[in-house]
Amino acid sequence: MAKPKKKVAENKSETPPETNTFQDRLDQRISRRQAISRIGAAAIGIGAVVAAAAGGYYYVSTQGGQQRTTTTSSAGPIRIDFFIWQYGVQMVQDNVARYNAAHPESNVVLSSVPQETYGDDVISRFSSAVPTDILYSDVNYQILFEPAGWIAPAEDYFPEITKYKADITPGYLPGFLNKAGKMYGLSYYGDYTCYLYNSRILSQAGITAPAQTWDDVITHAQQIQQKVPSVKFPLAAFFGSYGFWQTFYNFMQGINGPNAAFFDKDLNPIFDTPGGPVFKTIRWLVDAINKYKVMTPDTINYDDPTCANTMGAGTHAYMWEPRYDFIGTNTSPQKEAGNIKQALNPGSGYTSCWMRPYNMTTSNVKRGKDAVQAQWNFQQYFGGKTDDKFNGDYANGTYRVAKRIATDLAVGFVYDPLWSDPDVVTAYNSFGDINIMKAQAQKIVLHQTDGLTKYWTKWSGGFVQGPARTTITALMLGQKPNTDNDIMNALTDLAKQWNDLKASSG
Amino acid sequence: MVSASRRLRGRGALFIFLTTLPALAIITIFTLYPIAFALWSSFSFYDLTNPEKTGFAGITNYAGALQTTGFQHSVEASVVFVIASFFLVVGLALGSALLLNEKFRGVKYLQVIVLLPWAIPIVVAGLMWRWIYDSNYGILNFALQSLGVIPSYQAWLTQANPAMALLIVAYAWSEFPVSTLLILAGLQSVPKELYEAAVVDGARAFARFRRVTLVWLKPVLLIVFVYETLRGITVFDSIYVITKGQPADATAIISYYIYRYLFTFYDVGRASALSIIVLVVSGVLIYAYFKFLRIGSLELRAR
Repeated sequence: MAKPKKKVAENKSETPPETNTFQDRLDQRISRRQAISRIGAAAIGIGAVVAAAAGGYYYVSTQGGQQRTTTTSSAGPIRIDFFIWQYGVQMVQDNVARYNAAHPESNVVLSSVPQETYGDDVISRFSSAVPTDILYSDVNYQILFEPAGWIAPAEDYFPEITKYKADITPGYLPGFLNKAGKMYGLSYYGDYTCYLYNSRILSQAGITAPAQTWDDVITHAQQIQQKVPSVKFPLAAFFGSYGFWQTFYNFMQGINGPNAAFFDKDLNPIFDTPGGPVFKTIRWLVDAINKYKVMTPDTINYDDPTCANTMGAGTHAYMWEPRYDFIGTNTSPQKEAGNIKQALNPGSGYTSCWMRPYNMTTSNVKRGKDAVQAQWNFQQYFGGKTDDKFNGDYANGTYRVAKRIATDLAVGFVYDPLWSDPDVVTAYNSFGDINIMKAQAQKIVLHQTDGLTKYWTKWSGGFVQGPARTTITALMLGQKPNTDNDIMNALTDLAKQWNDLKASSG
Repeated sequence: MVSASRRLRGRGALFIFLTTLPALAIITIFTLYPIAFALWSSFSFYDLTNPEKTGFAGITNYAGALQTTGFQHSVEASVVFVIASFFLVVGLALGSALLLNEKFRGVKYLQVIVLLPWAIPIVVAGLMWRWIYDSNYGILNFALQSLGVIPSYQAWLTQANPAMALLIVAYAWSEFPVSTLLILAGLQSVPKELYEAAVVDGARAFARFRRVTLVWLKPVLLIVFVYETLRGITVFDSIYVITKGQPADATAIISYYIYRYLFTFYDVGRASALSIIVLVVSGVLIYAYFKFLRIGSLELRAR
């Protein structure tokens, strides 16, 4: 057994045989130590190559010269990179194509990614300096992107943007402004949580009008359970996916009024106030699910297609979902098409809303004034008013893209004049009542500005789970004890976590 | 002679360098560099929501991660998920492989059917299972109600225990065909002479299984154990599609928890610290498997 070892040892002192052919090399015996040392040498060599390549890349990318974001050629059209999440992409492409045809001096290039990864993709783009001039944004992105030096308020370069404030529904306006009150950009869209009911089910249960108070909601639901046995859970809402917070605020504004909030203006928690708006809202939801058993516990998993499909199928009698899903809830092939109506949110009548603006980037600014102007021209077409040749014209122009989004996709808008546009009226009336939609739009609260900080998502969980969302969900489902004291203890603990985050974030 | 020897040795090193270059380059770029970067990040202040705070963080990220309630919940959920899914997957795979190793009419068709879940993308399979469990239209509710097991449709994924159990079932369905294939390959390599010798020695069926089959399968089972344990720790897609960590974090196992820290909270430092912890735990588990099964180095052929 010792022989092979001896042989290897002997080989060490011998001159290695000539190894000229591939087979020779394969057949060549080498000791384990030799093999390790050679592989190690190879690894070091590769490491050196990679390090040299990385160093070279870093050197080149940090030097002047032909940078990707320097400037545009005076000979060709000015390229504008437009980055969006994937919704209605064909329409966006068509709008871009129309603009490019009308403006040969610029070339708008569209890139899109799925909504689920949009935030990560934007951060990656900015971090690695991928050319981006204008993009879809969100209130919670703006608070991250501006301090990071990635976006710039359009008002700094085009003060005339402030004219649009007069057209914006007041409830949406705070989302357009930075801390200094400057406007970031124009609007992609804005919408709100709507309160829907199934008129057929209500009628079958002997109910003549939708519930107008939160007590009525429970009473109606119990009545429906008795009279219409096929409806096991009359209530459901968009608490799943990215809908949790907008829906929670909808209930909070409805139960407590438009001033109900989690935080005061200095970002101190007020949600741990005994008997306060947050407590009352959780109490109502806990009771609806656990005590009265009129709201499906699965509501915490309801994404917006589920809301539209279950309501459209007659599974529920009352639903709180994004208004832009109303069309999909109440039109063919839904079984209940035509039976779904909208009403003002019960209680105070107020509901939660959200808005998505366009942001111009600082990399656009660095490219020089021609690129900035080209970006602004395009932004006015996509988010503002333009004349027949797609040139910015606030005084006499038309909200072309915002209107098309409303008429073709039934998505909402932030500009009040569009409520009286005949095409919008026809489009919205095809699946609902535009008068109710407009009336509700005047009673909206932008939930995204409550507690607006860079660390809000760490506390809330944002579109997924985090301490606050997890705690409230556990209370709603009865996974945590949910007496009044238990709810208050949970809120006190969440207040502590908020204060810790606030302290650690300076 | 010495210089010639060195030259030849140099040629040998160059040859090894060139032939291993593609593999080593890929490993360096896509495995070693990311691990090194994660290690560096885990000891740094690297929070995209707080870019002003940078530099060496010491063990802050590790301490912070370990102290959060969410982490403790995710570890508990992970332990339950890994243990339960391990036994379910390995049990199913071993049973299926033993069945498919028998010679009976239709076994070839059965092999295709058993391996079919493997051919379905995990995301698609996850969506399918989510529909099966649906509280309003799910076939599970329909079947159980039809059989009189439940009085009315249940929202299974809103209750912690059924949610975890159903998630494990869905995961195991997608996962067991791979291990079945590995074990089946091992079974088909068992020399018939061993069974014949065992029969001559008077061994009954269970003794033949224990003394011949399992012993022969030991190296293959080791691979299956290691693979399924690591898959259990790192599984993400099934959770993302079926439960998204719900209800109230009951199914948010560690990989999903790390994803959230990185892609929702943008806290690269803490997410890296958590990843390193998972890496170390995985390494310890692999080492323990090798030690426990007393296999010093992996050998797929019997001596």
